[in-house]
Amino acid sequence: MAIKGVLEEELKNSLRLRKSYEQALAKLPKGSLVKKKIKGHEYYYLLLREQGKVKFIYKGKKVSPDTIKRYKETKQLRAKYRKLLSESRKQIKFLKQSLKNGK
Amino acid sequence: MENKQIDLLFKVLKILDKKGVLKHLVVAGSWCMFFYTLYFQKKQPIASLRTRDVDFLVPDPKSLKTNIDLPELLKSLGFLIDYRGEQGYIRLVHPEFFIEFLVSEKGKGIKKAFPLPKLGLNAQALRFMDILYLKTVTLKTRRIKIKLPHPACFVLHKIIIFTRRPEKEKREKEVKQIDRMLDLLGREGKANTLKKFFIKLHPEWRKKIINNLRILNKNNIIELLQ
Repeated sequence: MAIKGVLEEELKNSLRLRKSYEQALAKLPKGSLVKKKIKGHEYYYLLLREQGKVKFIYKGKKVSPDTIKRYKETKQLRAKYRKLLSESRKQIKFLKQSLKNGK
Repeated sequence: MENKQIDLLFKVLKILDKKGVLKHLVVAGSWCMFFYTLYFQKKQPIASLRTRDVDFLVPDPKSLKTNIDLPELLKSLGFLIDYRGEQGYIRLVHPEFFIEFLVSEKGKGIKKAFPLPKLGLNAQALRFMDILYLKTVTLKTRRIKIKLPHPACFVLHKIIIFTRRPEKEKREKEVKQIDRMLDLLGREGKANTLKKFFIKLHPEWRKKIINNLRILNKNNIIELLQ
């Protein structure tokens, strides 16, 4: 019986966790900063997807190192959160299945 | 999965150690059982059932001197802030485990989160936590020192709190842990330490422990304590 209680608690926790990662992902600034070389000149663009379409938004010839760093960190964080969101989804599936089988 | 979880836990502990915070903390909750397995150098886990909550008790919040932003420090590892309940207790969450901070509830108690500004978060104040730091033991592993409640203090605390658990399943889990720990203390020849710490407790708390031991039919332990 104690294991059922632990599984139920863990399921509640995983459901909260999934919601937290979904919210954290939604809060992250959208898009990635990319550098394009056009006719020997470099330009910065914000690359993002909107309604299934890929968009390039011009950011300028020069972008501050801080902005580059911020977008790089955001990109890393987004990848991390996506991975962890996927893990929490797998946990939910596993916990639901375990509780169902234990009935 | 477990190795991943333990590796991440040690990453967090190393960060806390590097920032000078770990020495001010005592591990509480079911993760103590994991650390006791290492402390007593057991090949088999003392208890296999534990939740993902890793609780850190802050016996003396005033002893925290350096300012750190723990949620920010752990962000790169993927931890997020989760606010729990009406009081907004902060829990740092990750699929592998969750981190919570606890302090001892004093006097009539407080109905709100206890601020820990030096860590950039808050803690939940809980009754009877004092028992857990009455005496601590230090586990030296992976080049860090982790403070744990003395196993006898851990089990006395469990005995006093298990009846306060409203959920039947949680109560059963606590009882299992009490059994495992009493068994461990017996096998390690440390059963007498129970009395050593028991007599230091408030008379009301001692009464509660005896009553709860009666519920558990642990007459041999009652004899040992009285």
